[in-house]
Amino acid sequence: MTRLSAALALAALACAEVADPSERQQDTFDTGVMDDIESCPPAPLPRRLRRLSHREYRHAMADLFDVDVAMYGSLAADPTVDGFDNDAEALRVGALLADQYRSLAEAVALSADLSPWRDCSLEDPDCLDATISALARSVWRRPLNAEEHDELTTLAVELTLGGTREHGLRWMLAALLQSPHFLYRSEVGIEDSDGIYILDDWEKATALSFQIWGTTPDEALLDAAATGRLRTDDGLAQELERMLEDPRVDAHLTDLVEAWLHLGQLDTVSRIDLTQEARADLRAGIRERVQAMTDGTPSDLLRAGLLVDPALLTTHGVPEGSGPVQRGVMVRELLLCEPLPPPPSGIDTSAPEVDPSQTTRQQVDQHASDPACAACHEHIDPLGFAFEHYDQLGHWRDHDHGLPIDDSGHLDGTPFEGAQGLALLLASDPRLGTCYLQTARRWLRGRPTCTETTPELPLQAPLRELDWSRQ
Amino acid sequence: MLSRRTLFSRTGAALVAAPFCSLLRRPAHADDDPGLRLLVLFSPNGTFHDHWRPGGPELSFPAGSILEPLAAHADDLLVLDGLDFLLGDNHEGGMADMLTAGGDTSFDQHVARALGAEHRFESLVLGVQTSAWGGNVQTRMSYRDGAMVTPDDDPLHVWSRLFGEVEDPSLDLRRRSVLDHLARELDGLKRGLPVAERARLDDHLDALRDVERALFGTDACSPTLSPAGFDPWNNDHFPDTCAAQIDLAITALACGSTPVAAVQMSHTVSPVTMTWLGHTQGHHTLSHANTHDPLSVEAFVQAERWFAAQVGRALDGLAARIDPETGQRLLDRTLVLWAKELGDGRAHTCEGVPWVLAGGGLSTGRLVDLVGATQDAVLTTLCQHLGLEDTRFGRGTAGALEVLR
Repeated sequence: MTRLSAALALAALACAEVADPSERQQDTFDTGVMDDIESCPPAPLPRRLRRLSHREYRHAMADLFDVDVAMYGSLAADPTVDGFDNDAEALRVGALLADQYRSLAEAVALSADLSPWRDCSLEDPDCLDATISALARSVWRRPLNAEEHDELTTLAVELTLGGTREHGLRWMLAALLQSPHFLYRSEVGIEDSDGIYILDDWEKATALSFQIWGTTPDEALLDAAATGRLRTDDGLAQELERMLEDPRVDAHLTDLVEAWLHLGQLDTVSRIDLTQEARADLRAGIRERVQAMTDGTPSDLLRAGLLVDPALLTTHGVPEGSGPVQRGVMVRELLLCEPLPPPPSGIDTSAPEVDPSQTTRQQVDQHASDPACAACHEHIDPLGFAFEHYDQLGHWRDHDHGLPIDDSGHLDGTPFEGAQGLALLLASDPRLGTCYLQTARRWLRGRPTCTETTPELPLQAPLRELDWSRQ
Repeated sequence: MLSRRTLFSRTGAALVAAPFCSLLRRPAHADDDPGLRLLVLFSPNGTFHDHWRPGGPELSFPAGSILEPLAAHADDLLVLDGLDFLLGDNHEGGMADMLTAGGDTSFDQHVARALGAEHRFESLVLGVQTSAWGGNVQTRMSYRDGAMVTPDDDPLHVWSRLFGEVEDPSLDLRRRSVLDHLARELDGLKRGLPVAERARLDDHLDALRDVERALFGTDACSPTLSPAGFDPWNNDHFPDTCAAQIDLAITALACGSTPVAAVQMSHTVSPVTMTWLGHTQGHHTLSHANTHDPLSVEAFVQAERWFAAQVGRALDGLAARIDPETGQRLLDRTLVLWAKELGDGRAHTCEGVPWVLAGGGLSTGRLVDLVGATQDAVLTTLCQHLGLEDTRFGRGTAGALEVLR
């Protein structure tokens, strides 16, 4: 019950956002600087269709049909907004993606095991009806209305085309899997009062499932929607309780931490001596370590060594050496949520001549002597120097160019020694928890949100923030 | 911006359902349509002008310079010196402004709309490792009504879109039924939605229409060997991926699958490390090499020469094929633009952006001094050369540049 009260207490934190699409469009041309988080008052969310992110699509296909769609082909990379690849406004279906959805849907529909939805013989005309109803409820996350049922039955018969009924049924499933009712999560709602809409039971089940598990609802959750249980406080509390204890929560929070720290880039960054196998091992390793800590807080992750995790240090760095600038930017932008502007144009940004008699730090320190550089780099380099003992693979090094290493630095004036020192400082900095909460809300809601400075909350806390109302 | 969307939303379902396959044949050209094709190539992170600039006005290439790998095609090149961007500045602004000149539709997509209506693919936008950072202002150069066009980074997938379909009438019928059904669903779902969400579904309808054309359209293409044996997402396989994408683009242009192809090699701030040249620094880092650091400068020049050689590969491929309609070299019937997003990479400015044009019946073999001109004027000129009626481009107001004709 404490979980429910937390949920209700935190409800309705969503913020007003410019709904004017022309303004949103500008986002694709901006510099990626995050929205101002202080100035947005709470307001209902917009009525919208959220196209499944590629992550959600893969999870849904895996849960429905026990397939890894990556085996059948790739999905065109989506636009990123503020560094997030699941921005509801930006996710659209273009020609390339529509064709990929088509070929994946055909491949899965023609080979999937349909026995969970069909326990009868298709020779029996009632069997086709029942199977279509059952399949559509799972795939579309809601029951069909009579008109839809008729149309899909007609389609299944039309698609038989001289083949077996099973063939027609499978091609109808290919249509279900390319349908907007599958590819978009409806958050349209039904009118409650004067221009305010609330999600219906099925939309609620879908919102709960994607928010807490990152995937499509299971049968139990759909049953809860069907019986109206999500409309009562007790029923909702019961369902939340069940969902939060499911191991899918841990995998979902690990996805969230990966998105927060941009760990997806680990698959493609160019680092000297980094093999394909090592990439996979690093990614699996950090996932395992994060997944074991999903009951903790962001500070707990830092205290446990997240900052010196070789996966994090390999992701953020340079092909050879330490990369204090890249790692400083990572701390400033990702852990503190303080975005930096790109280097201004028109100034000479040529790198200093490589001097093998100097350490990386000594060379990067030339930023400090040039006011044009120092304006930004004083917020970057003193953080990045914490990692000077770690090379491009996050391996410890005693020397840099044969010289002793200085890994002291300061966080906005507070001095620290090395990565461990920085981790402890960050762990007690209120900006860390606030930044995590802001990131989590952004990721879960698919849109910019406001976040007031908060006491640090557990990683799980944002999953419990529920809001059903729309305008 | 909304005109096409609006048009399609009115007629969407009918268009998707209509059997427009019969229209999908390369049309006889009207007298004023030169029937040219377009190939846009991109490589990132500006240049070092003193290592790039060829001799002119009759082209010559100093030994070791960036464009020297194109020397064999000197007669086919039109090298633009001193070109500035209309608006863009810095990596991000340069990438966004390069082909749009501040408008909401990029040059390649604008031309595709005009020339591609009756082809299987209005355009093919191919990429080489463009998407590791997702789609954003650094990683995309093609735009349509303000939305990014995602490049297909997977040569095998491109190949299967071009050649992968077997002839199977019942498969075609089933796919048509499914597409018709989806168009009806999308149309029905639009009712009662807020305007912005209806526009999202209109885009989706547009996309289904493109899928239908690609599936059921006809062209004169016969399959090449499918590209295999490399991982298009692996840094070290960048060269194989480049070669495969360039070859596929040329094949598609040659056999009439599309009149417009783009091959975007990486993206601005590219981290690609040319390990195959022995490099240990990423391309963006090298682009900031200090003038007094000869080893790093040499590595950057090497990297740029490598990109020039890729452009050379495209020109070789186009020169080796014959346009079936005119009997000319395909290169003479294909306008090639090698675009970059920055001038001097160290200064992060979009001044003196080193663009190279080739083929397409332009008056080539020259270095042209464009000081004072902006890229919208070049794009206007190219649009007109391709038979379009534009008198300006993007947010620019400049007319065509006579010096390019």
